[in-house]
Amino acid sequence: MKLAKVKVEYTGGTTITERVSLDPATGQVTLPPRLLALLKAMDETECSPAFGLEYGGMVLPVAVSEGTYKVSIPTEPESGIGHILNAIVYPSKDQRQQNGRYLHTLSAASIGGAVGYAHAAPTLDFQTLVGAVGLAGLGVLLWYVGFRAMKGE
Amino acid sequence: MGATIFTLVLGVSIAAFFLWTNHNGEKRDRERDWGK
Repeated sequence: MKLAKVKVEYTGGTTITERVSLDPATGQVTLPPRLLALLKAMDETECSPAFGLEYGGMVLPVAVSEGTYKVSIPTEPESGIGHILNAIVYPSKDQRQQNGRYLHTLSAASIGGAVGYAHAAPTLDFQTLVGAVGLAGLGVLLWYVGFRAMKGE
Repeated sequence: MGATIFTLVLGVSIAAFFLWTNHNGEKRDRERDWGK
């Protein structure tokens, strides 16, 4: 059994945060009597809530059936390289935020590079123009992709 | 001109890669959305 944090959010704005017991082998969630009583009381005046459990940096939905609470624990890749690749291909919200920051750094470098490239050229010929415009365009593209990666909820 | 093309292809590839991973991450977050 492990301790895990749950969050119950109601449409009215009420949010309940509590610790529960979790059996990682079966996904069985055991709620403390206080939380069960609170949920019962809230059910009389609120719509069904969003019920999530934090596990391994992920928020898993808690399913309720016949008075028992369960979560589906995702299977993680076993090997080290698989785990790393999984984190790169499926970044979390915070990792996407960091990717966005990295892209904005590359965008700034591209735009700075475009200005430097144009100023370093002795004459503004076609090749210089293509290089500078290309770098500036790349800067805008990288900024946009970084901007998308940083979007919130 | 070769260097310009290389830089543009590299930059567009980086942008496309992060756009793809961002999409994957958002999709997985949606699938794990609360209350589903």
